[in-house]
Amino acid sequence: MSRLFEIKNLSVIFDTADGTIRAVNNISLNVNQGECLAIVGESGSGKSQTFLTAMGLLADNGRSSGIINLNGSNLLEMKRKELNKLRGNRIAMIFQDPMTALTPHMKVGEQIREVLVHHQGAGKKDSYKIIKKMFERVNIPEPDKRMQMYPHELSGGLRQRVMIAMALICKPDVIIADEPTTALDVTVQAQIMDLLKEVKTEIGAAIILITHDLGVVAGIADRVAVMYAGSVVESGDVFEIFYNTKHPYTLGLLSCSLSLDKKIDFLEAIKGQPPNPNKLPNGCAFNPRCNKVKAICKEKEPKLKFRQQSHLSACHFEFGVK
Amino acid sequence: MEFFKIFSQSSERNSKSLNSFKDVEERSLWSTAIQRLILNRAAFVSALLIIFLAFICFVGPYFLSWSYDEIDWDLIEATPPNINNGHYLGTDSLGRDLLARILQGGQVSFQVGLLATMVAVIIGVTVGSLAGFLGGWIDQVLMRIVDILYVIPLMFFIIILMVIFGRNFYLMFIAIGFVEWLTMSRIVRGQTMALRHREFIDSARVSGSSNTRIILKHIIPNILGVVIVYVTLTIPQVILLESFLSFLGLGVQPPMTSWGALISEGAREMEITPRTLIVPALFLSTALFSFNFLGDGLRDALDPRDR
Amino acid sequence: MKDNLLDIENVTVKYKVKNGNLFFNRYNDFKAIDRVSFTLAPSETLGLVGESGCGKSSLARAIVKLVRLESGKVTWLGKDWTLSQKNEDSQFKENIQLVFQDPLASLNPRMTVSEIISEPLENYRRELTSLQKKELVKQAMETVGLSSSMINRYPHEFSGGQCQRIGIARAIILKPKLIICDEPVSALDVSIQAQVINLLKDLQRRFNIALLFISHDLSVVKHISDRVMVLYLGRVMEIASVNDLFSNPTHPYSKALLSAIPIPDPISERQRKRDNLVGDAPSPIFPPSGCVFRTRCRNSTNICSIKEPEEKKIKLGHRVACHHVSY
Repeated sequence: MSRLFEIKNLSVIFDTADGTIRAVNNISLNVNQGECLAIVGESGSGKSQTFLTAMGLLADNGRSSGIINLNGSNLLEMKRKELNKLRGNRIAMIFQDPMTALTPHMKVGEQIREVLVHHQGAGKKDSYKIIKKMFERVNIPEPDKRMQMYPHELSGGLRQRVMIAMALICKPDVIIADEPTTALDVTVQAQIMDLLKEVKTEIGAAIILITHDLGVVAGIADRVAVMYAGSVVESGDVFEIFYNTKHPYTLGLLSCSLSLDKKIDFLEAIKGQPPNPNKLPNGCAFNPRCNKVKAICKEKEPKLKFRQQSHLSACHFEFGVK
Repeated sequence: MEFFKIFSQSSERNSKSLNSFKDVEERSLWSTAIQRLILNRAAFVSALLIIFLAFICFVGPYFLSWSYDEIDWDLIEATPPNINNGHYLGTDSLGRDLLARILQGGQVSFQVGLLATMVAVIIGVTVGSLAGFLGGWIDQVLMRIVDILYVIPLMFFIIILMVIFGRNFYLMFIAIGFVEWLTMSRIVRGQTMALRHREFIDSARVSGSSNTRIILKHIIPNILGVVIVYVTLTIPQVILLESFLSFLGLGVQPPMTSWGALISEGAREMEITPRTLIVPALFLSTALFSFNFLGDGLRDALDPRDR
Repeated sequence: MKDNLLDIENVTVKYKVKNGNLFFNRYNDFKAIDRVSFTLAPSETLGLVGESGCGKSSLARAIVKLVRLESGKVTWLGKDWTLSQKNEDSQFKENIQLVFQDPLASLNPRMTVSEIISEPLENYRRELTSLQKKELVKQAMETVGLSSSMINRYPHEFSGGQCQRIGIARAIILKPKLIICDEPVSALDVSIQAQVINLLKDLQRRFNIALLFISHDLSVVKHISDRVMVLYLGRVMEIASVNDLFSNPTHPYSKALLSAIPIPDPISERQRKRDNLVGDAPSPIFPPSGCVFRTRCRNSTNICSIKEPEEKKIKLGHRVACHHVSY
């Protein structure tokens, strides 16, 4: 299989008034065609920053190092002009809050047409047809009417569908979805997740799904990478991650996510608070919150190691038992 | 109290992991703002300059051999600076010591600046926070009054006051303050309305706080930052306004003077002795610059978006 | 029923929305809460579930009188509180406290933790000396798992989970009988959510506090509640005990909600048969006629658009508002 999208040794550092912050710490990821990679982590784990960097949307006080390859060309070394040709065309992004990601004073049909004209040079009539078809594809009722509407006139679910239509319009190779359903109601979330699943099989695009909701991950992902404090602590096949967990943080996340199909009296919570990114603990970043901590965890930073075929985990110990 | 005691032990294991916070110094939003202000060099230097200017204006006259209204009968016309006879910046056209007059004028300008701004702040914050917090018809009435007062031309208003009450030093404070509070009340009202729907106001209500307590404890501390910034921008405005009034002859009365009055006198003799215009103008513009820089610095330092 | 802590009868909350043009102001009334009734027993947890715009926050705010009631009756320990005068309020108000959704926004940024937590004491326990108040604050902090050495810190120095603990400490300091939690965990990370839920359960068990737990997340509600009430556009759809609702959801909306919640288990999640609703919830300003859920309901028939369904009792403590449910 060809490596469609690949991140190698990416680090992102921010200079702030309180010192430098390592938001992303030497991570490597890859995703293949037609595959869905889920990035799981809590707020501040660097999961969004990684992909904002890939899209060239890093804030001014941030610096990045490493390689981000799309079809073999490094996005980080590209000039703005070259990058603009790829963004929205070969690599597209779906944001958490469609209300803020869409321009408020432009009709949604117009906004999508701009993308289409820019990347494919489509004419007015053609683009209208393509957009209408795409709106029908993402199940927007009455596409003609909706195209003439402004974002605030649409409901949250429809806005997110518009975002998805905009991301799909150029048939990109990679779609990055940053918490696409967090701002939506559960019943609408279910609809949007179903739509993403269909898109995945139909278009064959690679989907990178950034989320904190393990339930969403369980439904759609092929592979999962768990991030904590800027590093990938565990990655592998979705079934491996859920049923053969190797890292205590993942184990903690799984045991404290509530589920409808189990009733427990006392939740096994992960103790403590997420670490402050400008003052990470020595050794393993997870050690102050880990319930299996040993002396070595406070001294040495664990490396990602193969535990099984394509199952990596960054822990000094082998935790095979659940 | 027994009620809590029994249970505090079992939660100890919970709190242990949180104790790691201990080594961080506790910092209020105010102290971080002051730190940030000190780091802002322009603002910090401006603050020092203002303090320095105020200090020499109020203390300096005691060390001069001439007072501001004393005429040196030997030098009845404008003379250049001379260290020997004690006129360090020379004299004006009536033979009065220029330095003494500048320092005395500075006193008046600073007093007007501070007192008139204080009048503006007191009225503006009271009206603004009441209108913004209570809303409804109270808001409507207060804001329409503000609208009406806005329409009255400033000069017209002050001239009428001067005519009715005569030229009074304190009347000027009140007149200027009375005009400046309008903008202040609008700013405060806007800020209060934004705060009114914040969750911590709701939670204060659920905790049983009365309206008075909410305004005093929750609203005003949170708008104080904006008010302080506005104050540092109002003071130079007021000083300038006073200078303008004095320039027109509506301000302080001779032999008292202010920076504006000095500039006005100096302008008349600009061709013969430019010194009498340039020196007071330098003092005035330094003070105005400093206040504006300090205001900008404070705005950056207090900006809540950083936190 | 004398034993109930709180009786809510036919409570309606109305808001006005401006809907005019440049020259004329027109106002549309809309009912955020429409004739909702329920009861709450001492030390019981009632879960309140619904999507955005269903009026759950309005209901919470109406109970503590942050929002005016249009009609209906709130009874606290057998006493009618809707008509109470201001001077009688304290007995009611100090016994009902609120925990808010956004932990940082519900704390005044210019106040220290100690000032924040002791605010209820300043209003209801004026007779205490400042030393006694401080002692109570420290105890409350230890109770919610905060070190009392942090008493002079400011909210922005804490993480989200710790801020929520501060909010909870403020809520328990008067030893209330009821705490209304308005989405207390939805702004928190998963690992912190579990901590806060455990804390709330813990406090409830120790102090015999009743909880009104508002959330959009059914899995959280299932974990913490004894009974659950499902709201849709300000109307009660179903109210039942946890076991009844989750094993035998009767209203089509409850069923849809249950099936929409993802399960963090790949095998069972992928084998599930989903019964997705179509479309979004309609605007509460212009609700559909008859049954408000009919526009998204599969079983809707003629009668649904004509008549609003009554709440039917299908079992002791299990009420459903649907035309197509039989006893």
